Amino acid sequence: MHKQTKQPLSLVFAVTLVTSLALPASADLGDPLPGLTPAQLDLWEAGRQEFVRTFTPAEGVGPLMNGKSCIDCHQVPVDGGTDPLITENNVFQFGVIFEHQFYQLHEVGGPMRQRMSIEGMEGAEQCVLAPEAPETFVESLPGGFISSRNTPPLFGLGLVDALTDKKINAWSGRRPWKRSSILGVSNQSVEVEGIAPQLVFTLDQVPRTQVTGPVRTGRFGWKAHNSNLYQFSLDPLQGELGLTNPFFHRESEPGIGPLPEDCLVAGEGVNDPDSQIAARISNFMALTAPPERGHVGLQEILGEVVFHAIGCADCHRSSLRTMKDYHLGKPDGEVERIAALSNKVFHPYSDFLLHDLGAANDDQRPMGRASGRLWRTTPMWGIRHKDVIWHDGSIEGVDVGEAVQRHGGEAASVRSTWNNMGSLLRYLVNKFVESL
Amino acid sequence: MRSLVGCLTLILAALPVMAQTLPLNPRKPTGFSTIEQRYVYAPPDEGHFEFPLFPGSGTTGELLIEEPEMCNGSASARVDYSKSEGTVRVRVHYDGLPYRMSAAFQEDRSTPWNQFPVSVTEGKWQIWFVGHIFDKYSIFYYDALTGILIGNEYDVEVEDLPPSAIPVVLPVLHMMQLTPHFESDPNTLVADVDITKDYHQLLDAEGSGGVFVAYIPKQLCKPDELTLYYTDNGLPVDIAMDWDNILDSIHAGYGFALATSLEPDPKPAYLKSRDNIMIGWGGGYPFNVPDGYTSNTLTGALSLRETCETHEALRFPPSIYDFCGPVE
Repeated sequence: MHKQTKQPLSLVFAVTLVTSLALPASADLGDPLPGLTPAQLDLWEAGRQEFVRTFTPAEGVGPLMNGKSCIDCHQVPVDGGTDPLITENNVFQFGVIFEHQFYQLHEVGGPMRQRMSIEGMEGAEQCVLAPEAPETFVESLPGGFISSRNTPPLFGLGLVDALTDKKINAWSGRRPWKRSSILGVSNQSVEVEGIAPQLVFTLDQVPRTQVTGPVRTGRFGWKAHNSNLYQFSLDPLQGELGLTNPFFHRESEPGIGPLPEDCLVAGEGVNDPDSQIAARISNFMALTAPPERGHVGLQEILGEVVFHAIGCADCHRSSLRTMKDYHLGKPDGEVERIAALSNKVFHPYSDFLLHDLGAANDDQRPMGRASGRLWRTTPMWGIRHKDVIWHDGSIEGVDVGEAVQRHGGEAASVRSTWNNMGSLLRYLVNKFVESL
Repeated sequence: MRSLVGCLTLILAALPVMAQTLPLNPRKPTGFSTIEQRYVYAPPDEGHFEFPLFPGSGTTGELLIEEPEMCNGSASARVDYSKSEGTVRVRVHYDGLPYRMSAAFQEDRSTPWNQFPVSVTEGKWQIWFVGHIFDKYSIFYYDALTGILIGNEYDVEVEDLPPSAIPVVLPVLHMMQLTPHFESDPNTLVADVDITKDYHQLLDAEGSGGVFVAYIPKQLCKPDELTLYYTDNGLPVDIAMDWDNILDSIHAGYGFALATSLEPDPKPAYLKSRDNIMIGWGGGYPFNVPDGYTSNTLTGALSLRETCETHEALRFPPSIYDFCGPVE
């Protein structure tokens, strides 16, 4: 039987004091990072303008999409946050698992459902296009599945972008400072700068590109399937808004047959040919401040000690340091060192690794190396601003007890410790989590 | 009527589409990180990298060797390379390499193109140096009348091909045997390998350019039903791997790998240049499977390792498409 507490309590207490009391002065939620230069603030503002911009069909939104603007899904409690309609606006991924292989169902608009079309919008009066409704048949297919994803907030992501691969991978696998059941593995994807588009043979004769480039450690998205903020902008701009770019240049299709000509109102070519929109939005995300910590009193400090002691922090890692020199890619193609993101300690309460959460959390949707049961450790910073938690938004409020019960797989031993713990200790952990 | 003609028409119709210019700006991956302003993985010309190996690292259709001494053990590799010195040095340390183990498939895995032993008795080990993971292409010939695979360009003589033969270019993995047979200390199950190769011409232990491995259709009518294919007899030395190109491949995201195969001793002539498909320790760079996880051989997706026993990997699933199927 392994020891439940691997770290000396005094060390845990010391770490907790550092993370709780030595927090640097921060900004209000949704504000830019403190310490940016005027030119960097301009980059943030230009990105924010794109983030709140409502795109028209003539500018390339749609024909199928989940929103006309980033803030259609990212505006609670401020721009960059989560979804105003909570779970009603969840994103749906769907597909089929057949003979152990995943099929994205491109033929019927997969693997992501778009719930809106530009039908009837200004400039698209002639377009007749029903949004997808794969639920009606996907679940009836043998091996068919639908995975629901809640909108994540986007605060402080520059600090995550500024983690080296080495820093993330140093925490993966079995480590002496973690419980024996807690492992963790990084996902991987490419750094977009190096993409070399290649044609991929497909049976439907539609030229597709395969994204290749320098492989980096993933860190963004529910399954850590994006490795940098630029890609984390390019990808959803195409998938959620229908704004195609050179890297993700295919319009989402309604199903069998091509998109109606009357719905292709944005003209020939991709909608963001120089990826300027994506670059500005990635700048906005990179330069937005992380959520500020809430009230920290004795209860919260003691709660964090318990949080560490019972193993929650084996995955929900309290502190990480960014790389020495973080360079932001700007829309003009130049890069600039951002002092506010370089060599900074921050407190995301995530290791940004994938962990097996057990059979009950198997959504069947593989993404990169992440199989259905593997999910990225959700960063807990800013959790007090959320109305719902869990990957599908199925837990109302910050219900720590319910969230712990949903943790199976690698975290089952931690759950067991929680269940055997007294109500006072649980109360303290709740207080700590509510302060994040 | 769906027929082979239809299948070929489909392929031919696709060719102009595949050849057209995309609305993209293709460029060679540099491997140089925008964010970090440096080579994060495997800098060019000079450097080294290390990575762990894990048990049962084979792929679809192979026997994955996972013995208790392996699951309780460890293995790691280090590659040092120097363009100025013209060397690529590979060092591998095993702690838990089974000694003269025996293993068997439940049935013969030979194909019309490659023969494999059904079993190995008191086998020894070889390391395979996988420099290109499907970022190279090679010509495979198919019979247009039947759709059946004839063979790779390095296995057939063009003048011997039937008039109905057609060339199809498909991606291949390029690897070579890094070592002759070796084995662990029977008392400690420890083994160490230290081999240095020529930077610009990585020749295998037999002096050849290695071997191509491909997962390709055995029948064009069923293009999504794949078979494992090895070139035989060693590739020409003039297409041997060059470490510069392997670094490019790492920068392009394809990566590099080592695999350790259980081989019959003596090795039959048909396996001279290629590996037996019984795989023990293996690992990749830059990304790997950490201790405690196992990889789905069909999809690459990871899951917790819940057992430790030698087993046969999943086989390729049957075809969904049949372009030569009966009239409905």
